Formats: sequence, C-alpha cells, structure tokens
Amino acid sequence: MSLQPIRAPKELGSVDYYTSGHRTCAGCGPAIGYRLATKAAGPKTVLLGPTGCMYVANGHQFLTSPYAVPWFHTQLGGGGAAGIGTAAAFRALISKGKRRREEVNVLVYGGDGGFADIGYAGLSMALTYDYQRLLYILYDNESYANTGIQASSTTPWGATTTFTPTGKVKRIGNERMKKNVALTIAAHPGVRYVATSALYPPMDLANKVRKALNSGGPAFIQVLTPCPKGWFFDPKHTITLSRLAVETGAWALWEYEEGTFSLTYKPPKRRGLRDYMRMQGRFTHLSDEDIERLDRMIEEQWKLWLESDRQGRLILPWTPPPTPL
Amino acid sequence: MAIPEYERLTWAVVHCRGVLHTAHGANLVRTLATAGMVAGKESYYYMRYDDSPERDNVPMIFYAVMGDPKVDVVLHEEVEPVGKLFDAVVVMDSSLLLHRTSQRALILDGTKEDAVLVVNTSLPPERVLEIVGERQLAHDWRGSLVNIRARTYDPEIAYPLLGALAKAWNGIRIEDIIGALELLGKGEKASVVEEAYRDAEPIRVFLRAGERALGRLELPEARGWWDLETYRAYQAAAAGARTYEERMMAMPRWEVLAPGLIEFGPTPGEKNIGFTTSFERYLRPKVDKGKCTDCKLCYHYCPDGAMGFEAIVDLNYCTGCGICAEVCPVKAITMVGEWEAEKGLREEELLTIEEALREYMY
Ligand SMILES: Cc1ncc(C[n+]2csc(CCOP(=O)(O)OP(=O)(O)O)c2C)c(N)n1
Ligand code: SF4
Ligand code: SF4
Ligand code: SF4
Ligand SMILES: [Mg+2]
Repeated sequence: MSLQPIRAPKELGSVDYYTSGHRTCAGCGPAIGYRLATKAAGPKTVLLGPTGCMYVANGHQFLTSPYAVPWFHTQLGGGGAAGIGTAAAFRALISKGKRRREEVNVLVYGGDGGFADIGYAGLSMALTYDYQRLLYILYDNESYANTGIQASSTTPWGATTTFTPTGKVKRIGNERMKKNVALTIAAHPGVRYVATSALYPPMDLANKVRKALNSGGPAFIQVLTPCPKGWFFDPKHTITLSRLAVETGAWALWEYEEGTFSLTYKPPKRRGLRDYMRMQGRFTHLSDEDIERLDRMIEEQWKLWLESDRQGRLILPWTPPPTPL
Repeated sequence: MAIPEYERLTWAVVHCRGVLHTAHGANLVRTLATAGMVAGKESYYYMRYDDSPERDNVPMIFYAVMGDPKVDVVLHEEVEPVGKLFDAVVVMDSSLLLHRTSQRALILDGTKEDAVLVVNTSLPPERVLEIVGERQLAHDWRGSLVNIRARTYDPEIAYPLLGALAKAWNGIRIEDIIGALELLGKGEKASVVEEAYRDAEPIRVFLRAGERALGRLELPEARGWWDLETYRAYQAAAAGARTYEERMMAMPRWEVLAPGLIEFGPTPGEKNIGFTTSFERYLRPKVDKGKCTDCKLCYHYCPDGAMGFEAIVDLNYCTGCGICAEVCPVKAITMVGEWEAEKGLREEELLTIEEALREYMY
C-alpha cells in the first residue's frame, strides 16, 4: 500500500511513535526530525539506529523509552547491517509462512558519526541489497554530539568543535570541507530514492520519507537537523536556522529518483550566508571576509545545482574550497 | 544505604543547567576543591550525569568533596552520593527550585540538617524559603540561606557565588578561595569574590518538612516476567518519587522486566509515563487561543511532543525551548518565566541563553 503525500501539516495526524519523555536538549533538531519521520512512516515501522544522541538520550531513562513502536539500539558502526538484517528477517519469516504477509517499514535513523564516518561502509553495503521499505535517514547535526561535539566528516568548514578548537595557531576551527553523503549514496545503482532534507519547509521531511518508503527499494535521506548544544544557539532558533540553511543555499534540497535529479527547493533570491552563520556560536571566530568567501563558493555551487536541475541529471557541484587563510 | 566514610567528608554541591552553566559549575567546584587543598585538605571534584547527560537546560550537578588526609579516605572516583551528606548547596538558577530534578529528586534531599543554601536570585529570601518549604523539603532543615544576585557582580557567576558561600559556610575560608584563584591563574577575580563576601547576608532558618513530604511510596509486588502492569506501576512510582532514595528504589528493575532486557514502551497515543521532563524548563509557552489559526506548526515542531494537536501544552514534558513561540505565524504564543507563571514573580537573575553562549567555552 502506498503512503499518501502530505499537503498540509494537519494531514500528518496526531499520533506520535517517537513520543514525549526523553532527555534530549531543549530545542533538539534531531528529535524534531525523528518525530516527523516516524509520524510519516506510521505504526507499521521498526526503528533502529546506531548509538548517538537519538539513542543515548532517548532510551533507558528509569528503564523506559519514548518509542511507541519496536526499536533497537545498534552499535555505532552497525546501523547499515542491522537494517538489512531486520529487513531480511521479515522477508524470511514471511516467505516461510511464519508471519502474515504485510509491509513493515524498517527505518534506520542514524547520526553523521554513525553514517558518514564510522558506519559508512555498512551503510554503503546495505544499499546494494534490494529490500523494500528499508529507509536509512542520516540526521546530520554536523558533529559527534552525544560525546560532547567532536568534528565529523559532515562538520562544515570553520566550525568550532572539541576536536577543532579555534585558537592563535589555528584560527579557523575545522579546516575540512563538509562531505555531502547523499551525493555519494546517489552513486549506488540499487538505491531507488536519495534525498536531502531539512526541518524547513515544514512537511519536506515527512513527504520525502513517504516517497522513500513507496520507492520499492532501499532508500536514503540526509536531513540537516540543527543542534543547539553543538552549534551554540538559543534552542528557540532550531527551526529558524533550518529555514536559513535552505534560504541561504548553505544546504541544497534535492531528490534523485531512479536516475532523475531535481531540486525540491529553489531559493527565489538566495539570502546572504551571513544571516545563517552569525546566529551560531560555533562560527563567531570567523571574520566577515571568511563568510564572504564561503558565500561566493556557495554561489558557484548553486550554478551547478541549477544546471543539474535543468538537465535532470546529477553534476557534482564541485568548486575550489576556500583557500587556507 | 548510608556510607559513614562519605558522611565524614565535607561536601558542596552545585545545581545548574546543562550547557548554560557547565563552565560556571565546573569553575565553582574546581576553585572550591583547590581552596580545600590550599587549606591542607585532600579534595576532589566531579560532575555527575546520573540519568541525565549534559544537555541544554537539563539540570546537572557538580560536587566538591574535601577531607582530612590523616583520617579520611578521600574520594578518587565519581561516587553516587547516598545518605545525608551535603554541607553546602549552591543553586545557579532559582527556577531549579520549582521542579524536582531528575537526578536528585529534591535539591535539599541528601543535605545534612545544618546545610547552607546559596541561591542566585533577584527574589527576596522569604519567597525563596516559601518555595523551598513547599517543594524541596523531605526532612527538617535548620541551616542558613544566602540570597545573592550573582550576575550584578560578574558575568562569570561562579565567583560571586563563591564569595557568598564562604560568608555563610565554615567549610571553607575566604583566604583559601583567594589562594586557590591565584593558583588557578584567576587572581583577577579575587575582588569579585571579596565584594560578594562583604555584601552577602546569610540568614538562619528552620523549616519543618510538611506531612505531605512524608507520605510513603507504594511499591508494587512483582508478579513475574512480562508483567506489563507491574512494570507500569514501577514506572509511575519512579516518576512520582519525592526523594533520591525513593526514586532509586522505585526504578523498574531488570528482574521485573522481560528476559532479554526488553523494555515496554508506550503504545501509540500514549507518552513515556516513567520519565517526565519539566525539570528542563525555566520558561513556558502561553497560547492565546483567540489568535490561533490551527496551522499545527507548533505541534509538529515541538521536539518533545509537549505541544498538543489542539495547541494545549503538556507541562509534564515541555522543556521550555521556545520553538513553538518562534514558529507560530500569528504570534499566538508567548514565553513566560516559570516563577512568573507559578508565583506571579519576576526573576531577573535568569541567565539568558544568548548571554550564556558567549561565555560557554569548551
Ligand atoms: C565504536 C564506537 N566508538 C565510539 C563510541 C562513542 N560514541 C557514542 S555516541 C557517539 C557519537 C555519535 O555521533 P553521531 O552518530 O553523529 O550521533 P550524535 O551523537 O551526533 O547524535 C560516540 C563517538 C561508540 N559508542 N562506539
Ligand atoms: S546535543 Fe544536539 S543532537 Fe544531541 S540532544 Fe542536544 S541538541 Fe539534540
Ligand atoms: S516547542 Fe513549545 S511546548 Fe514544545 S517543548 Fe518547546 S516550549 Fe514547550
Ligand atoms: S503555531 Fe500558532 S497558529 Fe499555529 S496552531 Fe500553533 S498556536 Fe495556533
Ligand atoms: Mg551527529
């Protein structure tokens, strides 16, 4: 049965499967993403995920949990394997007649540490299988947040983290460029649906989750989820920052369905990157010039994103990184 | 449960909010422990996560422990402090007094009877005592209270609080704190500590614990494996426990759970009754239903599922993040301080997060 698109927030309904009673930060972006994604997937879902905030801060408080569907906390590198293992078990039980034939979603919600670094190989391996309704969501809070904000390969250039402190010798903080994991996943021929998402526009994630589950094969979504603790901002701004990330073009929203590329959000007039960067404490040490340089880089990248969208084909949006300062 | 070796030691605890106060809390206990060393004691300090890791707004506790190296066995590990141990309690954000924390059910639970309480607040002492008596007392307390508006002295609130603490508490001397600051390369803060020491006015108090606090916790009898009802009863008891020991006792045990360490979660439509999160909140949303256009954005964007589908806030779970107010397209939601909402009082000493972010360094 195919899941219907959501046109208005009302249609997503009032039942939570990842519900109240967890100890994430006030204003936690990944928690909002989890709520939206699980609501979109619905009650016939098994949740899995590699350790990180979404499991450490969600499970086991007074031996209770906020999950209203079955869930499993995997080892940090094990998200990919646990996903195909679970999907394979369902397939085997159904084909042996030990379980009613029904569609069960296997949703693996893992962090950037879990999916972009430590569990990347397992994720890549899992996406070469043909399991249906197997969806991997990378909640990208741009750091190893649970352990106190260490840089990962999705941490953006310039950010302060415990691994990349800014100081007299190294002024910039993180000197590596953010890895676009979704682009690398698009190179897996067996994947039916790949997308990037954000918490803004409001139903973007929910709709992409439904498309992914309907796609008939394994799927992947990378959703940018602001983290008040790691990005140093007032928790009330989580959605404001999601919005600024897409309106400044810092985070491009696109989907790649069976070889066809399209942008799902085109900023009518791209806002200056400054608005996004200056709201976050992790970038306070950057100069206006640094931010302008990044802004110009994004400007160049957007020419390529728009060209990809025009052609319906993926062109890698590579541009020279900001020269070391 | 009491451990005599721990009871002989001198303990100070600092209650603060995760991330906002992490650096301040750490500064405070580090300075205290160093002052203990200056005074010839052996000392140790640590932070405990208990069930709540360091996360934005989540209450967290720092400990400084001191003893006489000739007679005491001083700690060298992060122990679970059970019993009547604490000599001094410092509260960095007075809204912590309005809720039970998740770690120690009550802030004054676990204190010795003559403990000193230092609160960073703009509210008068009688108001603070009122709330302490009403919400934070499981046993009688005859000690001292110091009110101090720490932020009027210094943005780094640890230093004025240290001065006030030294005035009210004989566990540490002001000279030793000044000595510790020198050792820690913070000599320039000595004047802040001295000023707060001079101005602090400790008052002696005696508060009797109410009848209500003595109500006993009913623990269910485990009937066997896979017994959901027993499990729920344990969860409810843990969530409702008034003291730390009660809570430890009431936590559902692995023995009453299923083999294979399976937990029973809520069923769709329910919430996690075993763990509420009001302790994270120092602000709360107020919804003006007259303005509301029923767009559901506040509902979908609430990280804690505390904003209801009909825009009614569940205060057991609201963490006061302020997202709902920020996303409401018609500005139907405003954030009000907890003190104001509960008691009609304005607390000016609330550290705004934006300020904290400038100060908080890794
Ligand atoms: C193999 C392994 N290495 C390190 C850890 C410690 N660890 C636990 S959670 C975590 C952070 C994971 O980061 P991410 O996947 O981005 O999730 P987040 O915490 O940001 O939500 C780390 C490093 C671990 N559990 N296992
Ligand atoms: S550290 Fe970040 S991801 Fe983790 S609970 Fe806090 S806001 Fe959420
Ligand atoms: S979004 Fe609103 S209701 Fe939900 S936790 Fe934050 S302040 Fe409370
Ligand atoms: S966001 Fe505002 S208008 Fe929309 S439902 Fe909530 S209170 Fe009503
Ligand atoms: Mg992460």
